[in-house]
Amino acid sequence: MSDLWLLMILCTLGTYAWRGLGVLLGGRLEPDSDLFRWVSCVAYAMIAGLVMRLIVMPTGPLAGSLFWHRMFACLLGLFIYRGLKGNVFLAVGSGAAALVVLNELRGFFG
Amino acid sequence: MFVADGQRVSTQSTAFWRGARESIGAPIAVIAANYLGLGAFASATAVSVWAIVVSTFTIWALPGQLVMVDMWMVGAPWVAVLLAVMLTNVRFLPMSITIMPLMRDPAHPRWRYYVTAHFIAMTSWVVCMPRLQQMPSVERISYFIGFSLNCIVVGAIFGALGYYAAASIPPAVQLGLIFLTPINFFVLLAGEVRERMGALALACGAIAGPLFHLLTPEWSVIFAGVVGGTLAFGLNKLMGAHRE
Repeated sequence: MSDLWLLMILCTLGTYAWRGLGVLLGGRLEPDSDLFRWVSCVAYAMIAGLVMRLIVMPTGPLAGSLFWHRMFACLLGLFIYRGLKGNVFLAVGSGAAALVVLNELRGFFG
Repeated sequence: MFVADGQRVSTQSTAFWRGARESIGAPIAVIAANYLGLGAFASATAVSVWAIVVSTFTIWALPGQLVMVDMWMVGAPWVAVLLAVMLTNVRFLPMSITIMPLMRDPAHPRWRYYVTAHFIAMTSWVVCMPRLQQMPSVERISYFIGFSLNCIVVGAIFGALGYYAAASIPPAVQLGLIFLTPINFFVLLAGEVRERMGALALACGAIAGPLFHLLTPEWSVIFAGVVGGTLAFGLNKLMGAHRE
């Protein structure tokens, strides 16, 4: 067994710890309480924070694209989603395609 | 009594397959594309294809898996890898706390909630939170596991495909594949927000996320969530209870 497999077991336990702890704590919480509302605000803010960070300051291949291109692609996706009454497939696909095209055009024109 | 129990089992198995079926569509396409990207990334490292497939089943958190592979490659100390993975995945705590009350039903023994918790991930949480409330409580766990398990299996298959197909995916397309994660959640969250508290939480988190990332990249998920979420909760209280 290589050390990557041992590390993977650790990471598996570490990740499950959050999920399991959530069951323990969520079991005592009333869905209509202020504490519950606060936790759900934290959950949504965490996800929004992570997603926005990936859009505003990405790492990896996305770091090579322009911020305004990524923002335009996201807003185009949202616009299509709202316009077509919830077609995620078309919305997300068009947004991602828009980014690829914009990025390629930028390569053409320097 | 006997008949009622029999019916209960059959509705749960129907709910499981309904969940699996209804996961097919945009959410699972995004997961497939993402894991294709993860597999392609891993193929450029010394990590075996099995590490990607197995960790998809056991960890089931793409950013966490990415961090693990990346840090293991550069030889980071185990404590640092574990800490980084746990900090990226801390979002599961509030997600689990808020989805679990929806799963409650007298028919379930306690251990079943702990098994269900393993299947919580960003896609299933965002998509299933509203859907679960529209079905009988006894069916929710089965639906959720059916939905999530299909996502995991598809993720693992596409992770392996990406691993072997990496060389034949042009860089321009890889860019689009990687962009699918952020744009998918951007559209789903911004497009589906209905009430004021949720909108405030998303807005505060969206501003806090990048700001805290500038200050402290490792702790940014926790800080953005706690500070942004608390701010949203407070603003919502200040605005009062009128109309919502």
